[in-house]
Amino acid sequence: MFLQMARLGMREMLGRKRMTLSSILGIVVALFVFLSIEAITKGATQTFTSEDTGNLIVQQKGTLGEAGGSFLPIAYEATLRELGAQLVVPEIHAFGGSASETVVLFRGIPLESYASLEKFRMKEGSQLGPGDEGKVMVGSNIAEAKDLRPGGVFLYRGEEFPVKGVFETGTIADNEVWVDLDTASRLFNLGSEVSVFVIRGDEALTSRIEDALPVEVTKEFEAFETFNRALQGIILILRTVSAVMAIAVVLAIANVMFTVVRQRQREMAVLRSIGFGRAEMVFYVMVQAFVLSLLGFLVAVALAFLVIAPLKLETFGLVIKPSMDAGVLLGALLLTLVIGTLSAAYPARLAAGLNIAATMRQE
Amino acid sequence: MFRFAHIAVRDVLNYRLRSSLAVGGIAVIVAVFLLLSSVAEGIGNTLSGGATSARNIILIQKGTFLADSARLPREMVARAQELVPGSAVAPILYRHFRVEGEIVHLRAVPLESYRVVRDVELLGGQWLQRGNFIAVGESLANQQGWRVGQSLDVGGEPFQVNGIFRAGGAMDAEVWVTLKDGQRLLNQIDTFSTIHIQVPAERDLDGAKAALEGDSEIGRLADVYFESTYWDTANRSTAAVKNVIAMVGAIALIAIAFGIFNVANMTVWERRREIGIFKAIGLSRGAITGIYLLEGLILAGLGYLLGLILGVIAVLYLGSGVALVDLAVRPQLTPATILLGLGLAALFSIIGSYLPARRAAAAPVAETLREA
Repeated sequence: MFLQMARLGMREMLGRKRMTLSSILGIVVALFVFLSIEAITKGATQTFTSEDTGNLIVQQKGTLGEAGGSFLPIAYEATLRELGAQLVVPEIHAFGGSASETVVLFRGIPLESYASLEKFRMKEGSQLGPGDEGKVMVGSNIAEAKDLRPGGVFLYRGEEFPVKGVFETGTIADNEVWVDLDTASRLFNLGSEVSVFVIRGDEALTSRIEDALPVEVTKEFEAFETFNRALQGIILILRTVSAVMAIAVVLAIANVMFTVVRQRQREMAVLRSIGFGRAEMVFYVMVQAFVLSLLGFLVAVALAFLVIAPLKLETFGLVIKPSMDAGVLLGALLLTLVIGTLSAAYPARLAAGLNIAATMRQE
Repeated sequence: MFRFAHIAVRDVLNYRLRSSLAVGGIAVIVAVFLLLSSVAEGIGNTLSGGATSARNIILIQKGTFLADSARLPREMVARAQELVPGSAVAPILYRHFRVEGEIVHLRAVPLESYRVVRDVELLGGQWLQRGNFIAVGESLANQQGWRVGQSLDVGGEPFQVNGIFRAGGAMDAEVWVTLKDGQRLLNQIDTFSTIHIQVPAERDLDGAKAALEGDSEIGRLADVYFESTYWDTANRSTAAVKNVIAMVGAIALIAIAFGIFNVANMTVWERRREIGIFKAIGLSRGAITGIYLLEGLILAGLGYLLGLILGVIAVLYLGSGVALVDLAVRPQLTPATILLGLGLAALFSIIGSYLPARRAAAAPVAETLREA
């Protein structure tokens, strides 16, 4: 009997092709808006992705050393070793660029020792090493956004820097350009200062360092995790707004379902009188709503993959890539099921509660 | 079209449930559009100097658009004063800094000259003074719930909130300290992040800029911007994000077309006998089309009004600003956005109701009356 009701429901929808198509397209718009916002906000969150590398960052107190703004004398390197830090890598982190469109996050690294602490894999070309002064290694996001390849040239403030390789870390570092420490110091006029020291150590070492020097020790990427947390407010608002669109679709589909129930009252009364139960009536309405919603979901997902997924939004040297991952798709599917359920709920109840005799008499 | 407007109005009133659902749906879509557009507008204008003087020039270290990493030698202050006599010169220290565990923009300002260079309105408490006092921007204070007299941890040191200010734009999300306190906190005595220069009214602004750019030391070490240009350039960096959000908001309005199409379709189907009678008594195709176009416009108009109210409430609720990393985005509902939304809603309503209306008008009279 449920199969028969499903067939009836499909026939109903095919009998009103224009309205069915229009309803599906309305759902497509709402889900597309939802998917777009979800994908972009997820991409923005992932831009600030960090990893537990086990590294610690020694930075000027209160600052975000990894995002620039921390200045420490290079002489601290010797002090850190005396305090017991085994590996000490001085680095310069700074946003360079004389216009917002050309802002790039630089990392100045000592070519002989950075590989001992920094976790990355080479995607193309080879990594920087001693003798590669004046050359750069670029993160995969920046390489893609600015079309940089090994053998090419990175132009910065009129100076050409040969690109030796493209690296990938899976973290925000994929937005960075790495260059040797001396070149970075010259570019940012830092003299005998660096931004941070990257070290390995335990809590005891951290305490010794913070007691001996006017610095603070945090775990690597903590600066960007802070940015990520600070992003969540506006993300929540945007996601709420996009989900609210579903209310509009629920109302629109409910409108259609009410009309279907009203126009098919007589047929439903006849079906009830020959033995179809209330559950079958409910199923008749729900199956139409769900089919409309799921078809809308499929089209919206296809559109989102075509239009939103390929986007690359550059802002202040960071590349945001909308993320259409399983979580986003699952969220959209869940919303689709909610739309289907809510839009059909009351019309289905009306259909189930039909007074057979009164309906037959009326018609 | 308006001669038979009473028929359209009657239809809307007769099918109350259908009309209410349609109006409700359109209202939600419009509210979503207005809120997304307002947020996009706010993002696009977040980086601004607020009520800044049009006569301000900014010096920033060459090649460092963001001031955190910028270091201008202190001698540049005196040089700027020589090159632009009579100007108010304010050297600034600027850093992303941890206050109560939150990352905020910390701005260290010279007490004497900064209020000349910057229009600042004190909303509560007192202006800055030395000795571990801070002033907090209005947006930031509202977001974090910080009040005058409250003690806050600033980079590991206790500071007291002395005042809450409004300077407009990005500065309302900042914490200000005196330059002396800033130099101590940031351990930066001999250099500044930026230098702000307010050119006196009697001096030529372009000439002052040219003089600064032409100086051998300043020209070598610093980029020279008009302050408005600096903020306009900064805002371009958020253009991509702003445009995508605005576009998504506009796309949401397309759903109005489909909603109105369904309603018009249903109404035309249920009123087919009546339409047949209208045609039989002499109403033209244009008149019949007009009735259903008007019905769509009425629904869209009512939905737009309700959506506008919802949108305004939402924007007012978010009025004090939403945190975007270390900035405060103030959703801005502009007249242009409201008019654009109204225009698009009307357009999509016409598009949605046109086909059903034309079909109603084109249906043969005899068939329609027989069928019904």
